[in-house]
Amino acid sequence: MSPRFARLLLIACFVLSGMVMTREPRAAELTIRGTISQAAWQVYCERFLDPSGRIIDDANGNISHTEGQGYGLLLALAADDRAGFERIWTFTQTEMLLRNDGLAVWKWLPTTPHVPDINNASDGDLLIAYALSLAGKAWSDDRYTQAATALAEALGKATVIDERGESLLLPGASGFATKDRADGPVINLSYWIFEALPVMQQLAPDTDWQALARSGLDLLASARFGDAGLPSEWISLHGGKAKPAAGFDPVFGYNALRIPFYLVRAGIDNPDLLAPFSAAWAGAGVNGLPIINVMTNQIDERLTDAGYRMLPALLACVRSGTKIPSELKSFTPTHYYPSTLYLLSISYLAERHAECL
Amino acid sequence: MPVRRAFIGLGSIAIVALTSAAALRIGYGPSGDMGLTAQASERTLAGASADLISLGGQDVSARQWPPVDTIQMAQATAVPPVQMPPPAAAPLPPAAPLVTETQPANGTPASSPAPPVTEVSPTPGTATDPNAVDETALRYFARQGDTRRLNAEIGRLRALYPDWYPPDNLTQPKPIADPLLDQMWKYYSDGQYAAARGAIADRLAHDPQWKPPADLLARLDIGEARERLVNASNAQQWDTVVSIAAATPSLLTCADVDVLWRLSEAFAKSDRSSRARDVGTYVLSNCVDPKERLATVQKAMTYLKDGELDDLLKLERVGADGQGEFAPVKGDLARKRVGAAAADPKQKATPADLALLAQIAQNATVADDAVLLGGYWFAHGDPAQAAKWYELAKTRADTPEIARGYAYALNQLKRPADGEAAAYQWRDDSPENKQAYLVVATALLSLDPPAKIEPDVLARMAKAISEARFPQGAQELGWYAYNIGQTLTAARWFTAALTWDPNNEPSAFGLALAYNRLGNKAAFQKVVKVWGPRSERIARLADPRAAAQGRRSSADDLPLPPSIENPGQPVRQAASTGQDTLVPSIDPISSEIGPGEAAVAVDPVPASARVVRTSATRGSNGGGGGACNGSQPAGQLSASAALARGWCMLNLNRSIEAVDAFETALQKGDAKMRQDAAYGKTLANLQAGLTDAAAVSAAAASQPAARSTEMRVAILSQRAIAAYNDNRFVETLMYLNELSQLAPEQNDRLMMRGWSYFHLRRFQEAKQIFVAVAGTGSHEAAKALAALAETTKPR
Repeated sequence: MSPRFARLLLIACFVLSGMVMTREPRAAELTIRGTISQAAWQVYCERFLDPSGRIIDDANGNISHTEGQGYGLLLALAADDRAGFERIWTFTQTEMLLRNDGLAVWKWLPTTPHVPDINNASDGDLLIAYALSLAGKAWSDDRYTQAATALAEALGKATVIDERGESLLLPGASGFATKDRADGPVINLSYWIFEALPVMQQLAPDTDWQALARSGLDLLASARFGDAGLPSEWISLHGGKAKPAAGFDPVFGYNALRIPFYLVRAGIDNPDLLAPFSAAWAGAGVNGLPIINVMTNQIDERLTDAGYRMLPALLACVRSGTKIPSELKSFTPTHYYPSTLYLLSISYLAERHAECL
Repeated sequence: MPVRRAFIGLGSIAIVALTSAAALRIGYGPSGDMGLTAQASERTLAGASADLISLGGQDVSARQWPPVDTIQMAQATAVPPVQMPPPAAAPLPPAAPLVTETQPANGTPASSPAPPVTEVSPTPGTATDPNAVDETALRYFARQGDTRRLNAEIGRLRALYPDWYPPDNLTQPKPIADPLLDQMWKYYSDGQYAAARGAIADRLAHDPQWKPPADLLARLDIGEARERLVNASNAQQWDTVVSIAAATPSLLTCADVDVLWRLSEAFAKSDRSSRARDVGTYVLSNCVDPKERLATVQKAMTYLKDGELDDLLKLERVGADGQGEFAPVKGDLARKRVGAAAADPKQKATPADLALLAQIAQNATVADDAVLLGGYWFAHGDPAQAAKWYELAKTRADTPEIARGYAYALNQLKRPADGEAAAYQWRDDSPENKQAYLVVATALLSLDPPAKIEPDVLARMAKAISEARFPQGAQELGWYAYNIGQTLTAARWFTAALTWDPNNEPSAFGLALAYNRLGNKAAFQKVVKVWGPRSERIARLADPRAAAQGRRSSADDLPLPPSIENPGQPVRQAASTGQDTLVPSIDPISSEIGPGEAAVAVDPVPASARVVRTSATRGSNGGGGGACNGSQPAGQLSASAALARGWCMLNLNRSIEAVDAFETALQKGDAKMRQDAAYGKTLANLQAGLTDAAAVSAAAASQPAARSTEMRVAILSQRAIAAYNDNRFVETLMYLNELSQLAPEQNDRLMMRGWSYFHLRRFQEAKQIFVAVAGTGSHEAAKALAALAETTKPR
């Protein structure tokens, strides 16, 4: 199992720094539909979409997970591919949306039993609900909107908690809360998909998703570890103090590199928030994205896939208007995760920063 | 795993950042030929269709009511119709009774369960026009030869449109008018719901005017709901199972009993067992497939309470032969109830259940039911019946459970010798089997008058009791030895019993008697002094008239348990050292070496014990009494304390602990102590029968010549005995030769040499030896000569 998916083996709590960020004006929602080419999507599907409708994570033993299904739905919408969207949704609904609480099981194995672990992954559920909601609007299909609503309500009930007056997103319905582990609660800031939270607010207003967005920004400002001032992937908030969670590598790694990505996509361009990531990624467009141990300040490895190098390019575009380098403008699928990040980046640029392309 | 850049040979595709609808559509997946017009490739099934419909001899084109699925038939005639609601034609009724989440206020009588699906009347309106009937699915199933779905579809359409009849020309299906739609049906029929959904969406994207058939959409909804229900059931998400069933009542039909079973289980596993019972009642009231009916009861057995299960059994149908359809389950039920009663002696099984199970057990080829009956009768005070069933079980299987049950039953029948034999093989399989063996062995030893016990049986019982440190067993071994006149051995076993259980009064009594009989006043007095105040009968033994004339004046070389040797000291619980050589073997027959293998093989312990006893005068380091009592691990003792404990343990025959203590002294001590420790360790290893280890420790420090010789003699003796007992006679002779250079060869070793020659058929040399020994007046040698003469007699 890759480090990215070691996450649900672990657990955690938290306190908030008193600092209150300047709130960003909420950007208009992304529409996503029609932002990537059919051709690129076709290539992606040939590699990563099984005819049964599951997105295959080929770097993790060809399993599927709700994160992949959620990304797959977003990309199908981006390619305006209703058939593809239907396939992915059908699989997600019949094979994964099984939990008593209305959430999806996080992982599906090609071997039996297909569902060995009943836990959910909150970011996967969030992505699915978000994609369903956008698709319901884009294609005027009420089935999607209804499913998005049910999922958003379930997510709000099961994973959004109030801890010391602060709203938190538990990474899974079980295993991460104060009662579940000694250093609980444990959170993962890359699960805060900021662009989806206003949509959740409309779908499931019983949960205060805006408060969740605020707490996410506050946490980003306080959870800065090591010389580079970066968050670790898994953060213990036990006793109100943020620190790298026990049992996980204290790295700014595969999961966390989505944090600036999600900020950008949500239109949050606060320089204070983005600066540490820009600094850490200086030169990364050429050398690759560093995985940084925030305790030792060592670089564990560099991720050189185009999909990873696209992220600093995206950040540079948004912050300084830098054009995307021409060598990053063509899509060659490598593995599921970087390929997905790549197409999502292109989708965002096409919708909001076409001038960089 | 880090994900490395890996170029795959797909070529790069330039990104076209289109924000408007793509000019170029690339078909995707199986529907890639979507751009073709529907008429472009009309396929006909000419030639392939002729006998597709006459499946299993059924002619579905006949005008009469076709042979619909038997379930549908039953529902149509016997009970309120349970039918698939007309898809998309009318809204589904509110929550069906079977899956409402709360009980009706007055409860649902089991005898008249609410139908799980509210009756849906045929949709009125244009639907009665037979021309409006959508026969796409019907024809698709006909072409596929899918009889089950075809009949279900006919039944469904008939229920929906009473005026409609299956068309004559099903055997000659119309040419496919719409290949894309046909493909969608094919996906549906194959269970490829994602592909079907994709094809519909793709067509809609190309042809916004096209309307997917409501029937197809409804069927996809139901098919997906079923798949999701099954997946949720497999993942044990019971609430999800129930809510899907509630939202999809058309799933709940006899045509798909598996779904009903899963719903029933979901109710039961989420603490709604009466609702689970209702589902079972529904199945048994409405569904007719005999296998499914039986399976319904079998599954319910695993989660319904007895009373609820009885509600289901009342719905049994009796065949023309008078046989109830649930007969096979009756056996399971009897087994379940007898099993419950076997586990709880307060419960009694009914004679009917017992008789049925007995009949099944007799006719079976496996042991299980016989074992169950054995257990039941034993728990209910009939060991004779129990033994009978275990005996039957033993003819079919050999398991620890059978051995244990049989042994206990025999023991209750006052046949402990048979019990010992039954329990022996499996004694080490589990704590329960060990306990059973110790109990029956102890019972065998305590028979009055004493049973005649074969030497090998006695030896193995003594070994097991010793290893388990089982005080009752040691106590009975003591009495057994006492009763057959082996008084010193008896004293040792009583000592062992008291060591393992310091409050064992019968052993203290036995010990006092034994020392009295041995005439050892000092040891006797020690026992009486400690135990007299606690036991009247022991106190009375001190009456001078009862005391025999003493022949010894010192108790030093006789065993006493710590609680008597050092009264008042906290009794150290004997540590489990694996092998406990504290206790001697009872040796009811001569241990002198002779031609009888059994006699030779009795036990090597007496030989090594002799070695230790010969070294009892080992001098200044002989342990003080207190050295044995510390609870500190040997490794933490000082060198001198460890040395003292080593000697003490050796005196108690606790050789493994002695080895540990000597080892500590060997590591920590100065040269002199190391010498003594190596010597002690060698003796302890010898006592434990670890000859090779003894040889190693003998070399651990240089020793005075006399001591060195003593150790070599002891080691070689043990090796010679071991080799002889293993029938390795050449080696035996080799060791004896070595020995003869160290010490004069006494009669016992000469006899071993003689018998070794004998077994190697070196009769001349054997004769020489036996003659020489016989010359000293040895009766054994005389008998050996006779045996030799018998063997070499010309035939």
